[in-house]
Amino acid sequence: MENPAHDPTRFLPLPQAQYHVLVALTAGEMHGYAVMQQVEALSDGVVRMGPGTLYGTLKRLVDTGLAEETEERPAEGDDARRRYYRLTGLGRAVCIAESDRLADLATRSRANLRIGTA
Amino acid sequence: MTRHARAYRALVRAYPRRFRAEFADEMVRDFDHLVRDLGPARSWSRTLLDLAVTVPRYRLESFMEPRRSTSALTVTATALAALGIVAILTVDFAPGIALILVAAGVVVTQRSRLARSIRPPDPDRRRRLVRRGAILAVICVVSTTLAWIELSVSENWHGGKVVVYNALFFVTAIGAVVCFVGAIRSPASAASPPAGV
Repeated sequence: MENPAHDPTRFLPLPQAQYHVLVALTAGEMHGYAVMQQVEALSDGVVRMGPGTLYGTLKRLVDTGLAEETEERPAEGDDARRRYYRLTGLGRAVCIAESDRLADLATRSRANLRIGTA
Repeated sequence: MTRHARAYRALVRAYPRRFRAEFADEMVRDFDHLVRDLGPARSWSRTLLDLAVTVPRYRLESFMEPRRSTSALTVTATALAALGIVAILTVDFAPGIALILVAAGVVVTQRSRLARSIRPPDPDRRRRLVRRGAILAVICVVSTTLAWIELSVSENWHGGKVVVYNALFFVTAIGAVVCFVGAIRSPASAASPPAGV
């Protein structure tokens, strides 16, 4: 029997900050500051995280098994003191499920708005 | 370290100790980078807002941390319930019922939707509840067995002893059932997701 803790839909809807960090981590493993920059870039500057929100969110993602800290350093010359994070299999599945949910919501919203303006 | 980073490090002390121990160095380093990339004014405006929002939130989460809050509230509720039973058996019905109602109020508050929304996830909850339920069940069985043994060999039973055994039986039996039900309702640990999910 499948463990209900590993059901991606159990995590939905994801809080906005968690979703943005998961989306940022789909680009590969990165350290906290890179996640912060990636979130800002992916949202066209709309979402700007401070260090407190960022590390609180990363901690929550690690605690729930959606992300994990990694010992490896992806690039030569990276600061060894930095902590790197990456998506887990479950995190990837949850990110896909949340993206599908939001896409479906956007489709319905557009359809309703078109009907409303027709 | 720049004076901005030093000032930020001082403010980071407002976060809960455990969070600080885990992330303070990274946060200060990132803030230092932020100052270098965006300049002090934009960095501070972003970070002060972040501090104002996250410090109270993480403080509250730390207070509601499962091990600490659940244990403290459970001990309080159990003690009140035990006192209530003892009061019913020795003093009067009304004060005993009042104490039991307060204990129920503590449990309801602890299990409320608001409390659960603030409380951080606890991947070990099921295991912890099973362990706690097992301990209470063992105490219940041992104390009841002792009571039966004592009852069979001695006829010198006084009110105080009856009250203590009864209180112990009710509190441990109810506590064990509550723990086992809670464990059944808790999801299994998410710590080791299956490969390829």
